[in-house]
Amino acid sequence: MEKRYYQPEIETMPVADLQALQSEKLVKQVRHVYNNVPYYRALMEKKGVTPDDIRSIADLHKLPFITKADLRETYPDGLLAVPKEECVRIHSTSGTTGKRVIAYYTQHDIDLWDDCCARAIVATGGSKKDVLQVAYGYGLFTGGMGLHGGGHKVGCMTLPMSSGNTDRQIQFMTDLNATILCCTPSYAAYIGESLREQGIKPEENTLRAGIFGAEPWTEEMRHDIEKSLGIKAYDIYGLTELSGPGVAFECEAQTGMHINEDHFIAEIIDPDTGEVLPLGSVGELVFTSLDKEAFPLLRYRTRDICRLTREECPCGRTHIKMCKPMGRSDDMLIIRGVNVFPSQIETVLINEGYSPNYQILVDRQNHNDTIDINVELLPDQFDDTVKGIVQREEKLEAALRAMLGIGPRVHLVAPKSIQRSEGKAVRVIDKRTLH
Amino acid sequence: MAVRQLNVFVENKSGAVAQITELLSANQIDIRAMVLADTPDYGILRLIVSDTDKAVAVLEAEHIITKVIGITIVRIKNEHGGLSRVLAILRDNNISIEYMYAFVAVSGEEAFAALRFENKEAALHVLNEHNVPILHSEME
Repeated sequence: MEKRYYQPEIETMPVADLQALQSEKLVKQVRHVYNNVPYYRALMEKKGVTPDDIRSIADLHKLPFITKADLRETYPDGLLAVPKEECVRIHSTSGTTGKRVIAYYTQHDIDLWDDCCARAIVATGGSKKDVLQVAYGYGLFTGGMGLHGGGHKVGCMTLPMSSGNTDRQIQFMTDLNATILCCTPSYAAYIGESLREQGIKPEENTLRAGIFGAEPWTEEMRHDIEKSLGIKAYDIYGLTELSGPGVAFECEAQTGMHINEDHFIAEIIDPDTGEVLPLGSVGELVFTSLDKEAFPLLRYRTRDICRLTREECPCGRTHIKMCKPMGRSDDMLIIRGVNVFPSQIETVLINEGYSPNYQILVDRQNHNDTIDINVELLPDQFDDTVKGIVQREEKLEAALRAMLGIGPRVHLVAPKSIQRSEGKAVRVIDKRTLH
Repeated sequence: MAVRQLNVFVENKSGAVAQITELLSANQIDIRAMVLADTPDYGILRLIVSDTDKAVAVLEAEHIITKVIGITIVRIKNEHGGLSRVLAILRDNNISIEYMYAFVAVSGEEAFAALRFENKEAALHVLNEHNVPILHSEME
C-alpha cells in the first residue's frame, strides 16, 4: 500500500498530544537560547521574563519577538546558540551585506529540515520509486539543498539539477523519467513553455507532481502549470531563518499548507501592536523554532501576512494549516524568488550618482516576474549619443544585478517625469495579482 | 572652433518635441538644422540654433535636459556624389562616425553634413589634409 505519511505518528498526532509535545520542547528551547545566546537573553531580561516563566505554549506570548533588524544587528553569528565546531553547514538569505542573514545548522538541524522536506514529498504521493528533479538553486539558497535532502530521506533518485540550463533540465527529465519536479513556480511555468516549444506534449513527459515555492503564486498560475506540465502542483513554504523550505507544505486536499508543528509553533499577531490574534484572524505570521540547535529563533516575525486554520483535514494530518501569504507587512518584494527591498535599489542609485527619483515597476509576463526601474536622468548625465545613454543604463543594470541578485531593466527618463505624490512617494508599482 | 550643437533629451510622450520647438519659437530662436534620434524609451533631439546659450536657458527653465557639444560641419557642393566623396575619404582613413545628418543651405548651391566622430582630432586632421572645407561657428 502506498505510504501516505513520512512520519505518521507525528503527522497524525492528536492535537492535544501535539501541543503537549510543543510545550515540552518550548520549555527546553527557551532554556537553551537563554543560556547560549547573550543577545536573546538581554531581550528577555529587558522584557522581564526568565525561562522559569515559560512552562507551556500558553506562556509563549511572554517572550520577546525576534525581527529582521535583530538578525542584521547580530550578523554574522550573534544568534548562534552552539559552539561553531558543532555546525556542519550554513545557508544565507539573498540580499546585501546589510540585509544578509547567515543561518547555521548542526547535523541534527539538517536532519530535521530534511525530514520536513521528506514529509512534503511523501504528501505528493512520493516514494523511493520516484525520480526527484531538483531545479531550485543549489548553494547558499536553501531551496536546492532542502528538497535534495528530503529526496534522500524518502529514497527518491534525486537529480541535483540546480536552476537554469532549461534544455538540460528537459533532457534529464526526459531521459531519466523524472516524476516530481521541485523549483520556483515561475521556473516551472518556464519549463512548461519550453516543453511546448520543443513539441513535447504534457502527457508525454513522465512528471506527475511538482513541489513549488519560494515565491508568491496564484491559483490561476497553479492551473496553468498543472496544464502545461500535466502534473498536480503542490505549494511549499519556508524561510532560511527557520531552516528553509518545508516549514509548511500542501497535502492532496490543497486547502492550505500544514505547518510542521512538532518543529515550529506558528502565531498570528497584529503587526502594529504585536498582540496575538485569535485563530482564524489575518495578521503577521510569527514562528518559534522548537528543535533547531544552532540557530533557534523564538517568535521570529516573518512579515508575511497570513491566516491559520485548524480544521479536520481529509488527508488525516492534524497539523495546523496556513494559507498562502497574502502580502507583506513591510515593503519587501519577492521577485523571481529573490527578496528585494526598494531601499537596496535606492542605495545603488545613489552610489552610482543618480537622483533618488525612481519608480520600480514589477509585473509578471508569461508567469515570469519582470522588474523595470525608471530613473530620472540628471542634466550632467545626458549624452548626445544613444550609445552613451545605453552604456549608462547597462552600467546601472550591472550594479543593480550585483546588489539584488536578479537583473532589472533600467530606463533613464526625463527629470520631473516621475510623478511626485503629496506624501510618501509611490516607489513601487506591483502589477502582479498574486494574493 | 566647431559649430555648437544643442542636444535635448526628449521624453517618450506625444507633444514632447512640439513643446521644445514652441519654447524656441516663443523666444525668437531659429532652428538651422534638426534631427531626432529615437529609441523605445526616449529621444535625443539634435539642433543647430541661432542662439544656443539662450536656448539652453529657456529649456533648462522648464527642466528639460540639454547638452551642448561641438559638431564638425563640412561644406559640400550640392552636386551628384558630393557627400559620398567626403565619406569615402573618412572611410579610407579609418575614421568612425558616431552619427551624422545633412542639410541644404538656403541658396541651394551648398549642402552641409554635420558629423559626430569617435575621435574628433583624427577626423579633423584627415579632413584638413584632403582640403574638405569645414564650417566654423559663423552659423550662430
